[in-house]
Amino acid sequence: MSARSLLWKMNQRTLRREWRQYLVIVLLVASGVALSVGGSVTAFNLAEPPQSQFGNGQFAVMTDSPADTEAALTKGRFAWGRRESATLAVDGSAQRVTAIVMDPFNEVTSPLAEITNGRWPTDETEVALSDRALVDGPAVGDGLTIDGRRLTVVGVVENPTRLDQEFVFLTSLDSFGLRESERSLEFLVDGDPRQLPLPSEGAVSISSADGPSVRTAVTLGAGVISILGMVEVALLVGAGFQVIAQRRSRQYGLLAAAGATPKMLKSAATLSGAIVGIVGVVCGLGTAAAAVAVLLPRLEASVGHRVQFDLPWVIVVFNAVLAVVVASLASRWPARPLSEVPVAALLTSQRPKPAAVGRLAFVGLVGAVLGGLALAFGFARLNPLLALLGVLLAPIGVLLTSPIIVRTAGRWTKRFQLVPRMAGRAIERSNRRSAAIVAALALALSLPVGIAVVTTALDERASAKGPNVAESTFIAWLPGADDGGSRIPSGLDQAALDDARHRVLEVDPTLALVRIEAAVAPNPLVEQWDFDALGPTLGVEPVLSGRPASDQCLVCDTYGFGTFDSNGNEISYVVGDSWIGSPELLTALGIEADLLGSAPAIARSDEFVMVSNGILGDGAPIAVDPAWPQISRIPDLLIAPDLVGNLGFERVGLGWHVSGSSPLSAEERAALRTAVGPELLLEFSQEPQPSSGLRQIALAAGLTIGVGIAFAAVGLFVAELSGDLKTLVAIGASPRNTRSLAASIAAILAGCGALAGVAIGYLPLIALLSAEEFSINFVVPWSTLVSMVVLFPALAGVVGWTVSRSASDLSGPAML
Amino acid sequence: MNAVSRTFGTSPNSTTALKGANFSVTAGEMVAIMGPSGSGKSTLLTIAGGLDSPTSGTVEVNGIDMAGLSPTGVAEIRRKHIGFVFQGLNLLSGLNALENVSAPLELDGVPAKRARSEAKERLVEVGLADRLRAFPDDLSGGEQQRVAIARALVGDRRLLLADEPTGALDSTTGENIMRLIRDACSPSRCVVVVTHNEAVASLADRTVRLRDGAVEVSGS
Repeated sequence: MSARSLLWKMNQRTLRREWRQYLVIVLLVASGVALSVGGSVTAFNLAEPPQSQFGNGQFAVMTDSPADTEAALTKGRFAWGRRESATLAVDGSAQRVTAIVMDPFNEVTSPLAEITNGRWPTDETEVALSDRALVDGPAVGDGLTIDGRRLTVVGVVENPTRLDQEFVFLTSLDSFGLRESERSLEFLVDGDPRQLPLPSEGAVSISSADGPSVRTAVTLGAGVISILGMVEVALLVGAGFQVIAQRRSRQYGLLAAAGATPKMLKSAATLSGAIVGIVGVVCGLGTAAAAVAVLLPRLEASVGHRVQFDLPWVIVVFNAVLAVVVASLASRWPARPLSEVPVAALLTSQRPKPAAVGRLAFVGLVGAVLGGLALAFGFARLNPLLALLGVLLAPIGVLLTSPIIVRTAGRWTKRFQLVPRMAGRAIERSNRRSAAIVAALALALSLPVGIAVVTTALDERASAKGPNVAESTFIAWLPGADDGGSRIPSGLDQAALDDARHRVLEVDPTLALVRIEAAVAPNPLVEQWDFDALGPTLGVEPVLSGRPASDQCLVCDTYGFGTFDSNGNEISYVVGDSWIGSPELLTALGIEADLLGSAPAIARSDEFVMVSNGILGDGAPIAVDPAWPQISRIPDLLIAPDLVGNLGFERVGLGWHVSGSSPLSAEERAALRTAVGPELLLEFSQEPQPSSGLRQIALAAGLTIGVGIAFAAVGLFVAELSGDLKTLVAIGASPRNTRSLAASIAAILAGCGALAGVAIGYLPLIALLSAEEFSINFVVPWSTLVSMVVLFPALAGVVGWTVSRSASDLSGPAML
Repeated sequence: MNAVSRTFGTSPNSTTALKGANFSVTAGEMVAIMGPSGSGKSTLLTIAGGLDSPTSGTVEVNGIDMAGLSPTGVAEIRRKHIGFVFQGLNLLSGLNALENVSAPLELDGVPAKRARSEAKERLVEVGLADRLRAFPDDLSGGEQQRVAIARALVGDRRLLLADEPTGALDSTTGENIMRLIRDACSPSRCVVVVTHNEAVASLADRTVRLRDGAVEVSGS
């Protein structure tokens, strides 16, 4: 029999004989693969799919000359589709409903609508409804009157990219007698907007789809998380294989005595690992697929769109390959030192001497410190590369210091009684395995700690700032005005705003109303496309990438236009989301009224420094550090009223800040809602919602994973210490003593892991603390930390006590 | 041991390791147990030491019937009255020589300082005064066995059970170890040694021979 087939046979037999140990490792690998693949699927689908904006198109064109645009699109050989919409009244209902008309089979628009029951409408007498378009709405086959026209419901439709979108699907809006201004027509186009030949006359507005940045970031994040997950699995699997290798040491000795070379021994171990890895990957992928299939409806409901399976397959395949490689190397690694032990020593099952704490641990210590500094400086100076370096270096550094932590813990137990002292020694002697377990625990526990410290800090900040508005106050917003980047309110909106003032005062004449206004700049040079003249006024040479529609583009960047100078820097020559800082408004918002003074100045909110639009005018920005209100919309910029006139901006109303002398009762709120009607949105006082729920979920998840790791750790140590346990029983240890040993090992490892986990978990807060923009304080979430540092080791101890074998199980003839 | 039998497994595949064995040893006596492989020597020793329970029959140590004791009670008997010396040099790997010897006392609740003081005396008696802090990995086979003997004697135990104590040692070291074991046999303590070695058995006051689980000869 050749050496290779001998080793193969031995592997098979060992796998059969030690199936329990291998089963634990298969489960670990499978869990790692399932979690990382399942997590990737979930994370990848958290972001809206790219089709949610323009179907299969890359940009949308709104135009007042559709025929010319169609001709231009056809001429340019673009793939395109029409999407027409309007808001229609439903007879017998106070609701208005969005009606959409588009070709459901068009290659660009088809991803935006899908029939789930019945069929598509085929003529103007038929309609399809989304499932909740109308409360208590009609079913397929029923009649429905929309804007006076009787229609038959023929199907149920949905937008797979936005399941919360409620609409009715029609074949045409022509029969409703709508004015042009009441209908919205978009051409969704697949292609490069720069290649679009613009019609010679009429206004065209082009909106480009958001770049792939969100999904790319999510994919990258999922990749990093899954790699970290696999690192965790690698640590545990490595520890498991180490025990198996030690149990196999006599077999290695026998093989070596029979002439097997160290290379053959290592190959045998690698082969075992590869087999275990492949089985684990298959089980893990199967588990992930089953979990996704079972949880699919819930997942789709929570992310708000149909789950896509054009997944980051690179990550999935990478994880699968990584799992096999990890298992193979984890199996080979402990066989390496064993293959170098003298054969005679192997035959007596003598273990190699425990390795001392390596230089790597000290390198890790340095790495942890440097990573922490890089993280802090990276955030403080908004240097993403430095921050990324810190994000990677700091946790790896902390993990590499695990052997030092283990050694320290081992030495710390020197003064303890016999059993905890033995536990400390066992942990210290098996420092590599202990370090791997501590590192795995640290990784598992760092996430809940990180979530706890960051959310606690944010909660404290929110709590310090108080609710969005006082209980005696509310804001009446124009629709869309509570959502940054909305359209510029029209004249009709302004009329509705004025009307609302009267209706509010009818309810309670004592209420004080302050108008919230934005400054917009209808720069005629922009409207006239006169860049030669515009350039000198701005002091830079602008290059316009799009063309504004004459009647809408008062704030061009609202519509996705970018204007750049010759260096590629964006020029914000029109100020969007900028409020006029009138003394009345500043007072109402609780901001120092003379902040903007008489000088032409623009104040910048500390909340929005990172998305600042840039500054126009002579005034330098003033750092604002008042307690900003927590209302749903706050401005990027506050413009002094004087400056508004100087710059030629116009005032546009966004809403009313309304305050009374006493807290508004529920009845008063209801009366105000009724009086104002659906034209305006009312924002009342809401207490900040603490993130305790998220913390509890994270804590529970972390503790569960941690206890699982502790369970595996106890199994590994008990397997390794079986000889010592028998000896202990022989010299008179009671069942309590032997169980205490396992419990002590679990508790000490858990304590070390928890401390390292807390250290890693604090890194994000340290990073945020270093960034002035976040202005949060150092916090100690006592309940979480006590749970981690006290409760978790105690829990691990209980697990150790429960799963370890008692002295009575250890007795018998095999004792000798 | 009175009419002790021990059967492993269930019928029809059961194996009887001991068949109604009667055996006793008194203080000051050293008994050697001999017999071919599979004769039940080790089973007898594990039952005598409370590491296993007989299928039938009774075992008394120092007048206490172990059958009626809980696992904790049996552990207490082992801790207070019985010392073991194994062939496999079974020292607790994480503890040094001094701690290994003091371990039974510490388990019995003796304060660590006092336990170590007594352990030190025992180690000095077996000639390891200069190896108190050495870990098992750093000790030779003979030294490990000396530590095991010191551990078996600490706390004035009345019964020393040794299973092939010289099996893993060279002849000179083995002789030294057996001398120590012989010396351990005092008016208040008895010794039972399982061995294949006639030379070892010759040091005993009495030899018990086992064959197929039954006591064949019990005499001097």
